[in-house]
Amino acid sequence: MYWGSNEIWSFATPHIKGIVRVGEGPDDRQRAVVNLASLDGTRNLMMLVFLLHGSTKDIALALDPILASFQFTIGKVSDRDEIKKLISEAGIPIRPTNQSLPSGSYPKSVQLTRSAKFALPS
Amino acid sequence: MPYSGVGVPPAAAPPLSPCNWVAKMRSMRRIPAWTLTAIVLVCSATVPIIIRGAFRYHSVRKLLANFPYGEQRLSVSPKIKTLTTSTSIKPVNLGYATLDMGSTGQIYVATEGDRAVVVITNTDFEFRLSAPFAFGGPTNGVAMHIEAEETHILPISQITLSPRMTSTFMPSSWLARPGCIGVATRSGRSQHRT
Repeated sequence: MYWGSNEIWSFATPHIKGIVRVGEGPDDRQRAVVNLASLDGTRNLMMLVFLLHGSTKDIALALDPILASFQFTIGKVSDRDEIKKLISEAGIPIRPTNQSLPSGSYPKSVQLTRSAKFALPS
Repeated sequence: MPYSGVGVPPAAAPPLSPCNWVAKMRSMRRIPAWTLTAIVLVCSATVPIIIRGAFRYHSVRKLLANFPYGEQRLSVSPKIKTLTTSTSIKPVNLGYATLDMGSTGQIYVATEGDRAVVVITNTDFEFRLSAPFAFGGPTNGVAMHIEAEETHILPISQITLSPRMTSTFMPSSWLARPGCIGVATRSGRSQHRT
């Protein structure tokens, strides 16, 4: 199975450009991988998207507003520790393990799946 | 006179000796030397191409057969979308970037792993964003991806006649580069490539 077996599209916005590969098989529209970069190519990012169980939404429609509005706020990519610091300063908490989820943290219908199977580039 | 089935059958014709064969050939109409030369030249030019083409075509088909959905994957051609920004509905600040979820539904944003991976979850999807990274040197990552996705299988005539033999092949993701046996990027270049 290969990413993009269902659909592939490249996109450009006023701030970023990128490519979306939907599906790991010809009939799979439940997951997608996005490679995006700033217009000058100096800042890159990879995003994995998974449809949660029970949802029938279309993955492309969900991605459109996110990609259209995505904008890097850093001028260049510094080291990883600096990135962690920026994330922390934005007030984003650490995700607890599934066993110790705080009540009310997740939407009720959310069932987390496959999280540990995909490694993102470090 | 043909044998009627009555009486002694006629004896079978004796096999031609080498001398008789030469004599028979001499009695036949001669093929001009230039025709023979032309036939030899054409054969010597086309046979290697046919053999090379058959070998290449067989190699491509054999390689494709090793990967499930290989041909279907190569037949998926990238489309081009131009996205336009609209009014912000649910902005999210990642620290290094901002985005808008596009709907007012409840979301959960958290970091994972070594705290550089951000996970955004809503009622329908989970978005996992890697930490931003830069390629060393002038590499244009997105253009590289787009070019790879424009790869398709060449028609057999081009497989046969292509002067290039081989190049890099990355079957793990079905990305190939121009110049590989049997594959090439599509003629239409993406407008996003720089």
